Amino acid sequence: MPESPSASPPRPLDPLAALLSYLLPGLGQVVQGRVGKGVLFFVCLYGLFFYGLTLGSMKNVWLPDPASQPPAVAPILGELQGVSKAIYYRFQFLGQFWIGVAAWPAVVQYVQTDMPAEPGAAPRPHAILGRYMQAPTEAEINTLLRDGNKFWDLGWVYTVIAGALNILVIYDALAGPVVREEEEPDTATSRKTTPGTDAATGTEARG
Amino acid sequence: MNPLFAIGIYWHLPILLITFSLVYSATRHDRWDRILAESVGWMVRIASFLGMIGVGLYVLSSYPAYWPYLTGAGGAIFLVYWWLTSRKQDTPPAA
Repeated sequence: MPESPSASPPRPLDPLAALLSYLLPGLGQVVQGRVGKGVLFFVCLYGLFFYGLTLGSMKNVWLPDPASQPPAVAPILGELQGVSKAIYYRFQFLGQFWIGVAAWPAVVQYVQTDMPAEPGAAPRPHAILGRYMQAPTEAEINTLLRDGNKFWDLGWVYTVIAGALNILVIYDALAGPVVREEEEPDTATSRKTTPGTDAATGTEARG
Repeated sequence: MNPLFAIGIYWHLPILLITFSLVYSATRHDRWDRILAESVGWMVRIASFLGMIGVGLYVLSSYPAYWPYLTGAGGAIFLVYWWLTSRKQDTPPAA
């Protein structure tokens, strides 16, 4: 079936903006000139992520030390090692990772923290990050679960949702919004009458 | 205090509701009027859904002996809602 002559060409992909929006939610949109939307994404997603982090007493974003965990066996992959084993025991980080730079301290702690040999002992704080996003001890988790009034669980749910929403933001930076702006049926008249329309290009004003 | 409001985590849900609605709608549109209209729609739908579940659980826990009647009434309300919404979709648009 022939394409309608009025159909607009597909918008070119913008991988750089997508990468920027991964690093900092909304940064890709700001670079593309959609400043309002970029600021909205940044405020909402960082607000949600750090709100969840605060609800969990700043101890619900981390990657565990795989060496101190029991063996993990996945159906097809077999016995897991390293990062895959850490994610197996802390699957929430798969969602939290997508918030971008804000979740990187957990990766730094995972790579650089030396876990103590004796079980249950707290690791030495990182030189710069301290214990921020460092794997908590089992006793700390038990205390948070027992005394946290469900806030610790609610907190990690918020951080995971913030990361998952940023995947949509990354896609918006890469390929534009899901619903494309309609073509004006009669640009000569609609330019004068349609509010929010850019008179020079005939396209709708963007955030 | 009403036990429905005594649980602290409920007070944190509006943050999630507003944030999710705004961000999701903003990834679907570029125009602010459409973003705000769709986000308000999502807020109403999610709040209604969660509210209905919360009220239903509260009523069932408060009057456990009447659960067959309450469940039947809830089902009837759902069927009427479904019938009304399907009728609205079938209505041809005005010329």
